Amino acid sequence: MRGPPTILRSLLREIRQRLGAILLLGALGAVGSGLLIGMLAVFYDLDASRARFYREQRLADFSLSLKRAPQSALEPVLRHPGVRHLEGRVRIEARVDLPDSPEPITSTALSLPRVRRPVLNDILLVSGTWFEGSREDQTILNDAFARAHDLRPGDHLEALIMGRQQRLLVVGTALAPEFVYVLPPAGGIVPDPARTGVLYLPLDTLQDWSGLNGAFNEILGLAWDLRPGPLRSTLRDLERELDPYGVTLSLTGEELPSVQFLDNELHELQTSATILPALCLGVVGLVLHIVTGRMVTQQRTTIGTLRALGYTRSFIVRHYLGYGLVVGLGSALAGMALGLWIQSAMIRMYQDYFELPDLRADLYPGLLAVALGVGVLFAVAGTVQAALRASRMNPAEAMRPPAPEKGGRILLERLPGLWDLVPFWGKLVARSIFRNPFRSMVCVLTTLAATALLVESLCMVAALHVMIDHEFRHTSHQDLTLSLREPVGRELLSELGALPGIMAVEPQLVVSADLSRGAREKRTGLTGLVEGNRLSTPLDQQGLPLRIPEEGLVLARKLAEILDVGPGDTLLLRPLTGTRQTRRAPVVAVVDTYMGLGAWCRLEYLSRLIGEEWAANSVLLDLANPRPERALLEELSRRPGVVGVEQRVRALEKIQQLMDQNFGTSLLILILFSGLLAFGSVLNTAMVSLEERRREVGTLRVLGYSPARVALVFAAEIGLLSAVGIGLGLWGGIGLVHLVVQAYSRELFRLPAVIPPEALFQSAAVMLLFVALAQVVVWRLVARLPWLEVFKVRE
Amino acid sequence: MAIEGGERRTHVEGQPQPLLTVRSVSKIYRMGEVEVPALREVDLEIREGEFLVILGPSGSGKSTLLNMIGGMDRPSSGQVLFGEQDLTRASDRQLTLFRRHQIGFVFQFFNLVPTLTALENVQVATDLAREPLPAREALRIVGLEDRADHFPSQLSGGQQQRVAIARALSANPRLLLCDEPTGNLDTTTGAQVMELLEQLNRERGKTVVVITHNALVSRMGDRTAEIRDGRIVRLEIQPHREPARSLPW
Repeated sequence: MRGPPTILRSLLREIRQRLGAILLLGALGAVGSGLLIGMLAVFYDLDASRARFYREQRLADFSLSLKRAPQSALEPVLRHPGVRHLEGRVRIEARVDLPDSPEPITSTALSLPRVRRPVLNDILLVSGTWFEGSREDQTILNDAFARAHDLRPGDHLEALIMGRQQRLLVVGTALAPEFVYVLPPAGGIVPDPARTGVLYLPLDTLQDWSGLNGAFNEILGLAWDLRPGPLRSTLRDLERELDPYGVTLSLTGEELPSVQFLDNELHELQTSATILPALCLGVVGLVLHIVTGRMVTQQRTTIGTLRALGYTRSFIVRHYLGYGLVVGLGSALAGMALGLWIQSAMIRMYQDYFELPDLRADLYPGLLAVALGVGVLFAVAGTVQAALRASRMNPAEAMRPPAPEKGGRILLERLPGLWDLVPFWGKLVARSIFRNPFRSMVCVLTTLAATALLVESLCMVAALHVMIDHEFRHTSHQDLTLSLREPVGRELLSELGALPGIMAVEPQLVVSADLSRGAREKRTGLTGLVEGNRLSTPLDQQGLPLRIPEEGLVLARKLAEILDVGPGDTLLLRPLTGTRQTRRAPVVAVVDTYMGLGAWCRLEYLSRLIGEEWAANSVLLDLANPRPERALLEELSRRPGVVGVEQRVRALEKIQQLMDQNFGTSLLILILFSGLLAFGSVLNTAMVSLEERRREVGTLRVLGYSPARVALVFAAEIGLLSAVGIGLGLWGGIGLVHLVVQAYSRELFRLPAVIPPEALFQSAAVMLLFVALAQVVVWRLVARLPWLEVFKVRE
Repeated sequence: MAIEGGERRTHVEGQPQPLLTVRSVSKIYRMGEVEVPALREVDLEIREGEFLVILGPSGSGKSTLLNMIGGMDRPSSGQVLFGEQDLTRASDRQLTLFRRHQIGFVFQFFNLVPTLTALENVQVATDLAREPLPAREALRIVGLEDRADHFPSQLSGGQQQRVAIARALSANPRLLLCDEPTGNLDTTTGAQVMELLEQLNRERGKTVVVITHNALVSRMGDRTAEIRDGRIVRLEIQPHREPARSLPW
């Protein structure tokens, strides 16, 4: 054969004739390929950038916080067979006072060697230099914090470190692998760079200021075996060996909040990058299956003629696969452009979100090739059956007019009483639906999937709002939280209560403790509350206040599950501060909560457990004015024991700001995505149905039916199918919400399964809107159909 | 086994050689549990260069016979020989090549590809042929060179059938098989199409087999095989072919 076969032109012209439908399918495919490319590329970018950063700055495999460990304490531990390397450093809380911030900023001061040498959890200088000479008063700041306050090398800042006010010279700004996702030390779940200061100071300076001369209070290490089991067991050995030095916390690298958040994000990206594209491309395949199936039926004479002219079976197969190939290739190529755009937009978003040094949108030719292959594969797979059916046609048989389409009675017709009640057009609709079960099913399934997806997204947003309301409005009522460096007695309370503008004062004691029962063990924070607590009123998921008994513990359900305990059981409890003696403590109640692995008890009970009569290490304040005056904030922060002052309103605003920023756009994209899915599939179903029933349309027009009335028959068919799809989709969405809630039940937080009725209404309304749009297109197609032609042309 | 075509065989002693031989061919269609015989023990020879008319009413089995001759279907029993090659034993691919190189089909409903122009419809056949006539030349022969860029929907029935004949002709086949070529045309156009076929047979030496229910056509042919109920009931030789133009269509 010379050059491309002439029949190829017929393929191209047919594609041009069906351009609208094919473009729609192509758009759906492009969205699928685009999401696949965009999201996976972002996944690779993030993963590579993170891995590079962790490796080059030597992120520690584990860390141990302790009271005080001299250098000599490290020697024996280093001999542990699981330990590859150990380093000590100093970490203390600091308070930064900046002119642009009314309240002091709770910060972390960390030591680095005065003379630069590679260390674990090293920093990457972004601007300025390392420490110079033997000056004490120099610091390197975390870059996000410096940016948020417009601090540059050469600037000064005031910080309260171990009770001493220091004026520090900023010599540099830096990124660190342990602070990629910068959570405020005072708590919260969203980054707040302006409230998250990390100050790096020379080791000798920090040791001197904190009274840790020649000693450390944090140990970073590398392990030989990084599998969770062996690593955990190495850590347990180290905890035991270092126990005399007062171990308060041990974390594997993976348990660092920053590392966990990044891990979660990557995991979610990967999940979305699989599910959403599969959904789109699956629908493309199914609809192509229907469209090409119809095409082959319609073109049987042409197929017969081509076979009679001497075209081979394999040629016929290739010809019909050509449709899939064109749709697949076209949509995959468009998807590449879309994917690259998605990638760069998402990377820009993540650059604000994560403090990673060289997070950039890289090009992945392999990914593009795979996406191209996957896009083509789905589309071609959709045409395979039609192509094979075409090739199996015997030429002589294909030339004969087709056997009359099976017109057997559908199930409904066997119920004579009922069937007689169905109006004429209803019978047309019912027959069309039941005689094309596959087509009807695809229509139902796609609207189902699109609706379920929408319900799930809306419910997740609602769940987050519920969770945030719960945490910030229903369980916390204080305006300010003061964090204290050391537990204090009752005197401070009366002192604070006497200050003007303070309405109520409520102490809290938060103590880290190891809880264990048999082989099960978990380290968590125990919160001691006073009787008649008003400012902090922990609630369970039913909104009922926790009743804290005088003795014993109330546990969050997730924690109780981890420890396998229930009310009436007894735990071993070892506080990590004070006497650090193991005591037995009864479990009094188990409650459902949203965040963390909480455990609560009476403040007095907890005080006794740590060997004190009465102690508090944070104070909640209720103010006359929820937005405190600068003077009050300064008065409070001047008190030496105070290391942090947090405003509840500010934390809440920060979260809401982030939700508004991100969810608005994501929801819009998701609505468009679901809409396109439903619109594309419904319209294609209607078009195939219309093509199949041109004769019927012609007949109805001859009988005097207006285009609108004829379109009504199709509208009823699509309407019925999509109504079933949407209805089932609402149920499916509810099921999906429960599945997702279960999948997201983590130690860090748990989402409630909230199904607000408006989420269901909104989902159904959005779907109906897109289905209605498809109806309008169908009506226009019916109106423009040259129905008289139908009778002239021999099909 | 490869079925080759192309060069014409020389006539021996002026006698036309059988180009294709049908030997006691039967075809039975099974419809559920009922067996419907379409052809019963049919014997027929098609001679090189002749104009053969197969005459019969609808349902007599003439289209089934044409399908056997054209390698489009296989008999239930019997043999179809093209020269010495047994078509009944040919593979699907061999039958495809046989149709491609030896047969030109003309159908009652023209069977043009609606999305291709007249010229392109002819090219669909020349694309495959080994020694094709140029597609424009084929259109010129049927008198449609000025309609080359028209789509089937822009052509009259007669013009469409002439495109179909140009298509059948263009692959330079040895045998033109025409199934009711005028069945869908008015009498004047039908007559023009028959004249064209006659001309191809006389001037270009094509072997032409025409299936028809119109007894008048048999006066144009060298021979007429009359078929009824799946059997050839009469085989008649016309000593004097009448020109299509002179027949009272």
